[in-house]
Amino acid sequence: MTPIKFNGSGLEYFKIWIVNILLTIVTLGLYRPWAKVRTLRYFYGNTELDNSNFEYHATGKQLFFSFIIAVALLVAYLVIGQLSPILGLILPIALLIALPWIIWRSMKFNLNMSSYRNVRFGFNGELSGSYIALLAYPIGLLAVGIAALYFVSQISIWLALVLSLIAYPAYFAMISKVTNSYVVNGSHFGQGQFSTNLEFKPFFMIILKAAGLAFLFLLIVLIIAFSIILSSANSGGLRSFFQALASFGQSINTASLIFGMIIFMYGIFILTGLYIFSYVKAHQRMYLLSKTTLNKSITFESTLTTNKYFSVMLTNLLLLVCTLGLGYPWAAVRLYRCSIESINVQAEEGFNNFISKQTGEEGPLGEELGDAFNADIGSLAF
Amino acid sequence: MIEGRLYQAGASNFVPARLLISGSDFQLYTEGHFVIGGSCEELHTSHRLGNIARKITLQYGSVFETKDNNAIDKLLKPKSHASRVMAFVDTLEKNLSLVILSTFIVAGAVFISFKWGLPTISHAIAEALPNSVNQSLSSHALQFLDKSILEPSKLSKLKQQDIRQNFDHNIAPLYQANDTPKFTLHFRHWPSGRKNSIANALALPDGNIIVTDRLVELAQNNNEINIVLLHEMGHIVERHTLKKVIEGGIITVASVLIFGDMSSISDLGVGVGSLLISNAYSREYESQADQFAYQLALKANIPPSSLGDILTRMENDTHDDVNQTNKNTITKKALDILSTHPNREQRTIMGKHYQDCFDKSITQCPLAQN
Repeated sequence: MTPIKFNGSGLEYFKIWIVNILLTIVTLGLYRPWAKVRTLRYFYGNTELDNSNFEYHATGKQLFFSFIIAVALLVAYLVIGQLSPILGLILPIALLIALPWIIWRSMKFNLNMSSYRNVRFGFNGELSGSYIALLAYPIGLLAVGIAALYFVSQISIWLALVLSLIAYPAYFAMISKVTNSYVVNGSHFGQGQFSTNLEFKPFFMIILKAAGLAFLFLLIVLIIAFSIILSSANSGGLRSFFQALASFGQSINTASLIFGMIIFMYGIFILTGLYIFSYVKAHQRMYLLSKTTLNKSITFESTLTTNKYFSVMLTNLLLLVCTLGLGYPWAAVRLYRCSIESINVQAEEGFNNFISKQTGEEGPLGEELGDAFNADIGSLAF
Repeated sequence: MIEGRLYQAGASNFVPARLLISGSDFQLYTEGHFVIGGSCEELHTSHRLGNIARKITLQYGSVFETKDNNAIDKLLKPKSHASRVMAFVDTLEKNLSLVILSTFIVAGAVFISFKWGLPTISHAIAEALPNSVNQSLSSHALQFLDKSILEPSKLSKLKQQDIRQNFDHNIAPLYQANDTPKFTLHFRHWPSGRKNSIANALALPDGNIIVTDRLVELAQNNNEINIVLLHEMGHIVERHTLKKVIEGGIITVASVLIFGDMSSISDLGVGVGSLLISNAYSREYESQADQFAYQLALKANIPPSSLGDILTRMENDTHDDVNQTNKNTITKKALDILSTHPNREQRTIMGKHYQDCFDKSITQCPLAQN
């Protein structure tokens, strides 16, 4: 097994990032495509496997036209949504319908612009597959689930409640399985096809365990909160507890009590959310990579653990908050390194016999639209 | 002599290679054998970025790849205009003092644009747009409010008529301009879970002003109601709703442009940040509406202190359990940042200024810049 390495550094990326922002401001946003290209080239170019690096090929000039269209559409979307209440309802639906197309085009473009050892990646999944995975499945499952719950609730409310507790994780597991299968099976490296055979059950178990963990965490927090309330009720009431906690001074009032409470609960939810997210991410990726092959011979493995990912995410969050966002480049490099360096590749026959495949050149419009409307496949394990 | 690798077009296997550049010609050797040569004009070199491997594409798609960035920069001068621009960007990135300077420029630019740039731009756009755009923002808004949170007023018809007549004859005509919508007064009951209903007044861009029953109950005289109505007229005349919408749109687009690559990690930060920013603007608008109300109050012979009086009563009505005098300063500051209304001290100072003018019977009372 050969690990993937990342040679970039936070400081080096900081310089690129701050110059990018400066030039973007100076050019009133027009530099943005070039900024994006430099960022991606930096991350790809510093990612190394077996002494060869990856590469990003798009140019700012190539992205520029689509970028302008995407920004114009975003502005139109915001303006029309405000001015007409009816169109304001229709537009999000239109965006939802366009989303699978946007993501499909974006994947085609991005993979086509990526290479390793002079050989391009590519995406040959069908557009219909994108609509099935990203639109038909989520909406269909949701409809079936709601209908089923409705009928069961006619028989017994409690049964419906239990069923919905299982249906929710099952829904997410199914969506993860379908989207990941679509993305991996549609990707290729040169003439070599990526392929994976994913099953529902492992995804379901991961999400079920994550849900159980979340439930356990919140239960523990509730127990702690209650015991504090009880103990402080004995020794002078809840107010004195928060007074001591926040050390605000002699007098504390309801407003600051509520304020402290909100901050406290917010913190708990962020920590729980981050941990659950890390758990799902690490486990889904381990499963997905273990089932993925390239050209039927090259295999992968993920060594990413929940705790490692969680600690990077948490320290990144603190870093961003403490530096008011200026620490972003270090955070981005740390997260990328933790994520990419946990991938091991097993290639017995090496990478010598790959040849770029001629594919239709897809324009960057989908990619730029995806950027502008913040569209990506959230549940993807990679 | 530059050490590197040579790839055939589109193929993944490579051979170690050496690139020799003499003057404007190049020669390529693999394992000691000459492979290809020609003019440097035929070579296409990728732009430098940090220390990632450089790629030189030869005429027939073969690629020479090397990590010897410095040698490339020394021997192959950028040809096209675009490559010279990118070479300049690279020198910017490498120069630490320029980077530090950029950091300050960026921080300053972000601060300035939020503090002055954005309000100025949204003001200019809002004023340039025809009134129909402004009014369309609130089409059906009153019907929506009636269906969702508001109930018909429980005030007596007599009381309603009294306030409305006074408003139509004495208050609304105080502001005359061509493109202003017609101000219409509505009375509504806004129920809340507690003993008392909610005391509030709302202004819709199309000129509809809603006053809740509790506000009328809390007012000790007509002057107090009238000055609140003037405050709401201020919101309409200054097109505050439209400006908020424009600001929200600009913040969204600008954050996509500038911080687009940050979105995945820091959606949270951007969300909290834009909430704080929009609250700061809201406070600015409240002050503007106050000022508008005070100026017209002087014309209409309404004591400016009425606004402070009724606002204090409204505040105490909603937080009657909060002990204002013992309020802790840290919490107060924190709550202040989250609040959409200017804090009472700032409001009191402005109110006092206009009250002084009123006492001296001056109708023009410019506010000193601070």
